[in-house]
Amino acid sequence: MASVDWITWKTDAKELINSEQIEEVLTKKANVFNNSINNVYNSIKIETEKGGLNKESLSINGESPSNIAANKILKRIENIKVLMDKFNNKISTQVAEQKKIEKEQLITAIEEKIDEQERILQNTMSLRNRISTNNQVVDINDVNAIINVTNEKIAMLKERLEKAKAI
Amino acid sequence: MANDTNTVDLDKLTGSFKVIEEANNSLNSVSLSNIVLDLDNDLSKISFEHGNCFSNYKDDLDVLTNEIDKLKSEVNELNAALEKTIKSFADPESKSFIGTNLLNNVTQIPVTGQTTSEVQESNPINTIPIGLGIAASGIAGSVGAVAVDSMFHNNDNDIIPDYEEPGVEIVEKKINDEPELDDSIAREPTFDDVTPYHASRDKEVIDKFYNDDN
Repeated sequence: MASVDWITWKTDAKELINSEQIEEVLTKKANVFNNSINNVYNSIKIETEKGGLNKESLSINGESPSNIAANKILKRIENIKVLMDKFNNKISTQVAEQKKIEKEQLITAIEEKIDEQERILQNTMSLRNRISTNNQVVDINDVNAIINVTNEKIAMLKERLEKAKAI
Repeated sequence: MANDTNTVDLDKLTGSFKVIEEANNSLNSVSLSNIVLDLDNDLSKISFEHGNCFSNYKDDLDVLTNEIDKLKSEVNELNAALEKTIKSFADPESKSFIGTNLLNNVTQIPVTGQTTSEVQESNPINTIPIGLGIAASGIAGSVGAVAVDSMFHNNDNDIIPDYEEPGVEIVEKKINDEPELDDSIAREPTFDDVTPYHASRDKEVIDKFYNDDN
């Protein structure tokens, strides 16, 4: 649940989970990974296709165990690539979900903060209406200052709210 | 139906060995496991900063790492098996024994050696037929093949778990559920498939010889 402390920490959109940055990390890692494993895959695939490991190279009772082993390796690599792709997609999905959650939390927190400041404003304005300009206990200028500051806070929070909604 | 003729084309097999060896070196030089580890570290930090938003991702990375380890092992075993096979055929007298921990039922098989005269020189591509007349070489070939083949037998129960979808239990699939692999593996020759040379094999010929003489 959003709180004053929470909003203090995370009123800036930059503090939200950065899906673009995470995508960049995932893509970079995946590219290095795929480049490496694709080289292995392609070299073995070509070798099996041109028959380098088949029965013409080594035949035992009409079978070629090396070719079977190579095909098993190819299947293993295909499986690893599928696992990697699915993993990256899963993380991307979770990042998008987390971003949505954090955006909603941010909007809620800012709205609550605006409500809080508007209550302060109303109370202060009510106080100002009750005191006379000659009151010696409460200086009307101090009250006006509070009202001005509160209005500024509300304006700032509303600006943040619009930014949060645009994320 | 299995063909009883066992052959090896050393030129082709050596070429394939080099490819597999290169693949093996590539897998060892660029550590795929380290890439996964880096990914784990990056995601761990992000997840911590955002309320552990990534669920079960470590389990997924464990599966991936496990698969990478199996891949490296399989490529390494194929590389070693091809090397042993080539050595045993190319220069059988250089090794007194072939077949080591890669073999299932065969631990140490003495190689009697293959003489130059046993190689059919008429074959332009250096194919070496290994028939009944050169049973010893046949044994060597089988052992080499079994060495290559042993990976399958060792991994008959190998499991590749499917990717775990959120909220769904891991579905496990046996590699060997695939018919093409199962059938092939079932037909793979073993050491016992090769009939060892024995004098009694020639008994009928010898008897006939003496009978004809008579």
